Amino acid sequence: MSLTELSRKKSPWVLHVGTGGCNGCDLEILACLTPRFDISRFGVMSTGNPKQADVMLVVGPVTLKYRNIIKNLYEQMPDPKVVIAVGTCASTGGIYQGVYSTCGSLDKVLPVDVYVPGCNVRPEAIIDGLVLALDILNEKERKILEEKKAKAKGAA
Amino acid sequence: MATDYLTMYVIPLVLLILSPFIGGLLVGIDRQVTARLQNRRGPPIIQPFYDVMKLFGKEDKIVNKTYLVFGVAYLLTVILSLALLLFRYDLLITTFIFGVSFIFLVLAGYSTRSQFGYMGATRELLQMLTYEPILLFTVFLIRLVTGSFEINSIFNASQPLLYMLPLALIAIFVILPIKARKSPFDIADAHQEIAQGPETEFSGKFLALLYITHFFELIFILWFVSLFFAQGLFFIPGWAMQIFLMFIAYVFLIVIDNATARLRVDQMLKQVFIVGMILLILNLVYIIAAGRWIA
Repeated sequence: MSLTELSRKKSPWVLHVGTGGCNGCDLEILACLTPRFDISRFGVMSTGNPKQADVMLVVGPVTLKYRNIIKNLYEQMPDPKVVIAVGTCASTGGIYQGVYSTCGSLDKVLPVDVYVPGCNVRPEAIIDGLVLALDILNEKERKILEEKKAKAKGAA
Repeated sequence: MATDYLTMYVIPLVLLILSPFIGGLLVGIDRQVTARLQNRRGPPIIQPFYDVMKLFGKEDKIVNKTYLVFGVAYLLTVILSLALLLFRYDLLITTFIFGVSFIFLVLAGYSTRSQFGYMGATRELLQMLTYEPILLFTVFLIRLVTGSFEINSIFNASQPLLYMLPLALIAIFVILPIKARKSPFDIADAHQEIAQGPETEFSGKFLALLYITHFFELIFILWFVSLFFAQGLFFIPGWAMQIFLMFIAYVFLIVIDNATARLRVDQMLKQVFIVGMILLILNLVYIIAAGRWIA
């Protein structure tokens, strides 16, 4: 494991996006930052800025009004990036399934890497999902580098 | 002669090379201590280095080229001002170049054309308006006491600056959180209100450069404070007193950061300016009354 990959695993910066759920999972994410669970001991920092984030924690079924905004946020995040669907609503739609004002679930809008089910999710489950996401982060970067190499070979 | 060569060139050079590492460790210890004060475990001490290494491995999302130039200029001017301070050049020029580095950050914020960058840059300018007169007034008082703007004259003086400028040191402590971007004066990059202020549009390598700049800045302000006690006390050598003063300033920063909430810009301008200026003018009156000034 190279130094960059190690430090990528040690400092995931999180962008917390609430897309119009019941706010239950938002509170559980905030509970992760409190002394009892304290995800900052893994180097997690909650930024309000997509340009500096690595991991996107999405909560709630994506409402139609929020679809363009969340796409915009996703495109603003620099590679490598990971999307985590937190809670049942973001994973499958939950009790909002089939409601006219939502997109159904997050994976109809963005490519989702990790699903964390639960209504509400437990903070332990969010931490578990985050740990899964960190491995995917490095895998994604390796894939991007390989694609770049293949492109360079094709061009030459 | 050999020791002269050592203190004038070798030690400053070593400190300059080591200062990003020391600054990073200080930031890490700061985060750890803050976490412990809030009853948390906190990240490891070398967390800032992980952050910087990670940012170097990320993609750059670039808005335009102008603000990158200003960001790099910010880094270079901070390094230059720290070098001038360590190699004992002119104190006035050092503080002016340190001020210019802030101007580059402001220009970087303005040239991103984002609302957050714009707002953060405006607040940064107001912060500069608050601390710069106090800093320059302090430099003027140091000149009055030592008779020269050269930093060497501070080290060669018969007694420490603290004996003649106690209130000026308190004024410096008041503006210390502004320069370290800490609460209650972390107004410019108040990340709950305006994303990251002038740093909002920076990402990837260039954000890492800004982080390294903050490490240099921390060392600069700590070293500036330590100039106030450069002479030895009884059997304690001068460098030990300097480190002691730096330690006090660092602990002061952490405690104040955790104990206070963020002020508004106008509150900061009023409170800091009035308190700082009254302290400095009282100190000026004391120097003149004691007749210890050198024309």
